[in-house]
Amino acid sequence: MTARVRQESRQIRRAIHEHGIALAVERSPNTARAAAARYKSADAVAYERILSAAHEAAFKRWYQDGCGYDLDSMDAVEAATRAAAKAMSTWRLTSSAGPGSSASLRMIAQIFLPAEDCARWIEEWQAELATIDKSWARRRLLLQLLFTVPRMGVTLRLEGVERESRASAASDALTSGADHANGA
Amino acid sequence: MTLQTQLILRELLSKPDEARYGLDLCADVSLPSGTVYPILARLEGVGWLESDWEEADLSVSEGRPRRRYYLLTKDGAQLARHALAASYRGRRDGSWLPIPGTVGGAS
Repeated sequence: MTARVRQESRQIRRAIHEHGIALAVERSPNTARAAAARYKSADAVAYERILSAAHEAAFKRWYQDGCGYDLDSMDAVEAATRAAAKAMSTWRLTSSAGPGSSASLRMIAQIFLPAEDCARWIEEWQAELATIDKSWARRRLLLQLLFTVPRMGVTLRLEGVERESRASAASDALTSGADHANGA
Repeated sequence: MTLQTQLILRELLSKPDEARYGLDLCADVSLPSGTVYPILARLEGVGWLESDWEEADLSVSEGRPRRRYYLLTKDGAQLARHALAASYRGRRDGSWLPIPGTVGGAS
């Protein structure tokens, strides 16, 4: 290994030691990846771990930039949703699709769904729940809906990002068209 | 385009002039709500579907909250037919795997 590679290896090892792999790589995924690749032959295990952490960090960054969504907190909220659903499957909220179940669906939806879409989806799902007579069927749908909410949140946010980019592209096209016309 | 999206489009195209609500679609295509609603939202987002609340009179007379109904748009029906035909041709040719970046693939 050259002196520079040895120095980078030492730096990244120190960073890992001090901050843990994920944090070290999150600070600079590309540098970490490149440094890890250089000393791959010296430490294959560390290389694999750094590479994996770099991919994760790059994905997180891409996801958060694209959706404006914090993946770590989303994991936490999803875990809370699962816990809530588990609690619901016990005696507490199983009696009817009354205020308890509506409240839990509303609470989860307000956490996950974009504010502008939230009321519409809550109303739609509550209307579906209200039409089911059998309590077991209602409970099953309610559980399904609770697990639907995080995915709906991602879908609606991605939809919003795409809508904005389409609008922006259309606006750019109009502006360039107007500039072209003015120039002509 | 995913197989689930194809199932939903095929179901909607079987009665293109009939407005459907979410739970009705879930039952007809035998897919869970967690799959159906995100697909409906995506299809609505790209303009293949339009949705509206039902008339208050009807829901009030039946003593239940109003439902949200989905209907294929004219362009959406046309595009859905083309997309289903293309995916059928793709399967026949053996290239049935979804194209990367088209998850839920309505666009």
